[in-house]
Amino acid sequence: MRHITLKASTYRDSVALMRISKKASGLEGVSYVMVAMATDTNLDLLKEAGFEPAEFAGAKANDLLIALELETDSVLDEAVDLIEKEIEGGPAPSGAEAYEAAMGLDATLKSHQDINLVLISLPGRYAAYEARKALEAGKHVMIFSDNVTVEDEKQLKLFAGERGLLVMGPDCGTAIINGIGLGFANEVPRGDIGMVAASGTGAQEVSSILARCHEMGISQMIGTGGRDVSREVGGVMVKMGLRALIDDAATRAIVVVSKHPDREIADEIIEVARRGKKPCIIHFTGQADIRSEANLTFTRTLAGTAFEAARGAGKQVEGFTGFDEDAMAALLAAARKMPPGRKYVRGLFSGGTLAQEAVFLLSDGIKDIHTNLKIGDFPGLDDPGESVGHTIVDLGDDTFTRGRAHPMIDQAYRLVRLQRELDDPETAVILLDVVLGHGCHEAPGVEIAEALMTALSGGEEPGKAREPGDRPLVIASICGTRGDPQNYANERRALEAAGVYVAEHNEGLCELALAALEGRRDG
Amino acid sequence: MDSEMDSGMDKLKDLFSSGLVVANLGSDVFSDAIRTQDGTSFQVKWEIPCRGDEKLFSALELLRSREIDTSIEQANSRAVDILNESHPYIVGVGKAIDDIPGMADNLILHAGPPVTWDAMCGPMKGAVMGALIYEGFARSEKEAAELAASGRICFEPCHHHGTVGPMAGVVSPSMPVWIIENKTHGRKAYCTLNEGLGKVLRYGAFSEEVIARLKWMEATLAPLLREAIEIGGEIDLRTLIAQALQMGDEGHNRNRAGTSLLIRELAPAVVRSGASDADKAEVLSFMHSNDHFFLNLTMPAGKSCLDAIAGIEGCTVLTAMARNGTEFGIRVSMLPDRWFTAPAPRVDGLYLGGFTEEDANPDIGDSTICGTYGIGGFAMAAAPAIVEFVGGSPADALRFTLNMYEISAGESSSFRIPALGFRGTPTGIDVVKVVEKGIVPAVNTGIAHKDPGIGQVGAGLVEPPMSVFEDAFEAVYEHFKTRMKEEP
Repeated sequence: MRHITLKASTYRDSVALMRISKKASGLEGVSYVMVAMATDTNLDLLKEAGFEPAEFAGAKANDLLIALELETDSVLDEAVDLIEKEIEGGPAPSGAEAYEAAMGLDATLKSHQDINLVLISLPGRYAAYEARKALEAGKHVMIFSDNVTVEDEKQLKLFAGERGLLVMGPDCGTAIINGIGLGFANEVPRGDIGMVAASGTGAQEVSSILARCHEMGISQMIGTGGRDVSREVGGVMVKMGLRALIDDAATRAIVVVSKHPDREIADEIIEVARRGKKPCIIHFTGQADIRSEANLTFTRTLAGTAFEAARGAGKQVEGFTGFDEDAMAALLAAARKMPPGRKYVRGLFSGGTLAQEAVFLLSDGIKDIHTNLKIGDFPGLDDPGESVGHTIVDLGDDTFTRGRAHPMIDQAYRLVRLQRELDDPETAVILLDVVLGHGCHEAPGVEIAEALMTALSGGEEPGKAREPGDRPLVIASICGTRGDPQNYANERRALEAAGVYVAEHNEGLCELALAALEGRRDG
Repeated sequence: MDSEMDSGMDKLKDLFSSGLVVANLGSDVFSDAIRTQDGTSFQVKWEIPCRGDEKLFSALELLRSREIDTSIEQANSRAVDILNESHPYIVGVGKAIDDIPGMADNLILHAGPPVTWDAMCGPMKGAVMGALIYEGFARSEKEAAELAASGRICFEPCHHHGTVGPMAGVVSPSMPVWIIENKTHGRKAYCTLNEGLGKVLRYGAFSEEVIARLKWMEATLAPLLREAIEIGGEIDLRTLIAQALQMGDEGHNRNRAGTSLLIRELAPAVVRSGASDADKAEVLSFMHSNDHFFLNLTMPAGKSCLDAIAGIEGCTVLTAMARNGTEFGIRVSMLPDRWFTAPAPRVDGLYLGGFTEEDANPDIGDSTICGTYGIGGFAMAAAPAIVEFVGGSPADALRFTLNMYEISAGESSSFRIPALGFRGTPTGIDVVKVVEKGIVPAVNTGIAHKDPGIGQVGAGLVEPPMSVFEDAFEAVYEHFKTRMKEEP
């Protein structure tokens, strides 16, 4: 039976609602749950799930929708009870707590004059609206949300720029201000390397490697959102952040990380960095043809960026490898045992920049990588849900996150996809990034390890178990630090126990993958 | 360019050199993460603007564009300043026909927006008929109804005559009225004297005892009060209301403290008056027996102040919310000649023994002037004794008031709430914020029986119709759009 309840004018954050949906879907006899705001997108999803429009007639975007499909009617009350309790949350606050809980943005800014940054994760159009209000009130802004129009972004950033205020985002996944991580951020010590990042996981990767491999810390990490470096937006915030770090006495060396900026904007950024005199390490993913000069170092990889940044800040660092020699040896041995039909790489990435770096680095050794990332001349995927030949897929892309949380929070789809790649007799190597940090999944590596153990032991369908050795190799890299809330050591141990080859970083992961493919060919 | 850069560096330097303090709008996961890192984050309550209505939101975006927003902000803060400077006093007791501007022998004033005899609800008709009998224009219900329908009697809103009236709010020519003056701005406002509870004219009752009481009020109560004020001097209402709020009143549904304070002010002068001891005793007992005697003073006090902010260009603050039992209406400062109306809503309430929702008339009365003035529902947190209206606990009352800060242009400098650290009450309802936030003003009120002649059957909470605020909001939007075209 199907069941729909509408709660008029009740707004809850989508992440909270997805958490509730997930909880309710765990009940016996519940086959489908959607607890969401009744936006057009969500109503479309509901239609796709087989609900009739008549069932949710009159639903408005600010209504909260509970949709259930049940195998047995008897669980209805239990499910609805559970969901409603979760929606209501804890007991109503009283006294001072009630005071805080009832305040909107205007009131909050008014009663806490020391607020200096407003962090926004709201549906796109409203994110821009609230950001404007925050800027009017003289506050710096970070917009985690995507789906903000480029016109709005441009306007916000020009307005902010004139007033010396930061607009980090839209679509800014991470930042670290005064040692406090915002959004998805890793626990890294304070130090003297400043970062300006137009890419979320790129920034996480560099800062994590700095902390974990080089014991270096971050003074400030200013996120800008990927579109800042487009011609329309003009790199306003990258340039402003760069100037701020050049000016900042606590910053010795500066890192700029960005996905393929517009050429003209790249030149402008370089010019600001050049005039700054401080050592500046610049990484434009996939753009390796710029020559280093005086205080400017251009890097090809994220790991290389971290390495150069550590050196730039005065640390004596030697070259380091992105993988353990024993792991490499074991990997090559296993690769040689694989049947010749296994020939393709399948990368299931949660981090966009990590996926992009993988495409570029792997393309050194393999041709025709299919990807849903819209970059260079790489062939696309007609259906990003289906791998074709060598495939690197960014699971954080809009097509996958419609009505669903980002894979860095919720891996449900990634695990389905993982099973599919494991079942594919042509899969040679599966690549996974495991991103840790505040705001991320509480134990992504452990969850993957458990899924692999189940799958490789034959799972619920013993018929699928293959000959020993006839299975794809799984290589992962962990983007995170030992201080992250997830427990880095535990994540790593779980993955290794499940037979995963764990690289030190994304570049190491690519080196292992190329070696495995080559080793297999040699064998 | 370089000077801009310098100012830019200042703001960022401030950020880097002070502690990071975040306001988080959206997923509370991020707030939690910041707190885990020993950072400070305030989770902000957020609702979809304009309740998700795309058209209204587009209009809002224009109203919030820098220039218009600034001009609204300036006009509204001027309105709040005027309200805060306003100082209402009781200056006397007069007679409607002598004192109310524009009053006429054949004119009956009523609560709420304009309404015709035909469209009037039961209690309003009852009150009109009672007034006609009281004036001696009719001798029976039938005669009164015929006269009212004949066209020889005119009906106009109290609000058009500097007057306000609770419930039916009916004012006829010979009724005694309080005269209130906002001394700061020289604005006068008027209101009848409160008749007490039970069967009373304002609830549409017009039996003999009702008429007899009105006659006594005219013959005995009013002259004595008039004399008492002449002897004792004008009474500072702003101070009385401020004190009452700190004694558990909110000035609309609880007036026990205000009434007591008024008696303290009046009693010595009443004793010194030339009236008989019996009359003095009766007058003091009458006030004492009626906890709402003070309501007919908080209301005109509000009116005398709000009239001072009518007609400010670009000001989106309400000057009135009023109901006639048929329609709920509001007026906005910058559009002073217009009413925005919708059918009066039902009251969600508690009923006196034997009555149910079936008996209730839709929302009625000018007493919503209280909330408009920053007391009443807006000061709910000051009145823990009547929290049953809003959910039962003092925390509910607190939330009720806190919510009103969201839609208010400012805070009162006189009326302060102990439970909120003596913060001023939310003052000056901004229609743009009402629509933006989807929060309607909080109204608590009495409930009249739907049939004339019966009286009060309960009290409760009313949710004003959002459409009146949306209509006013759109008119505000049209006004600014036109203004933009005229002065490019």
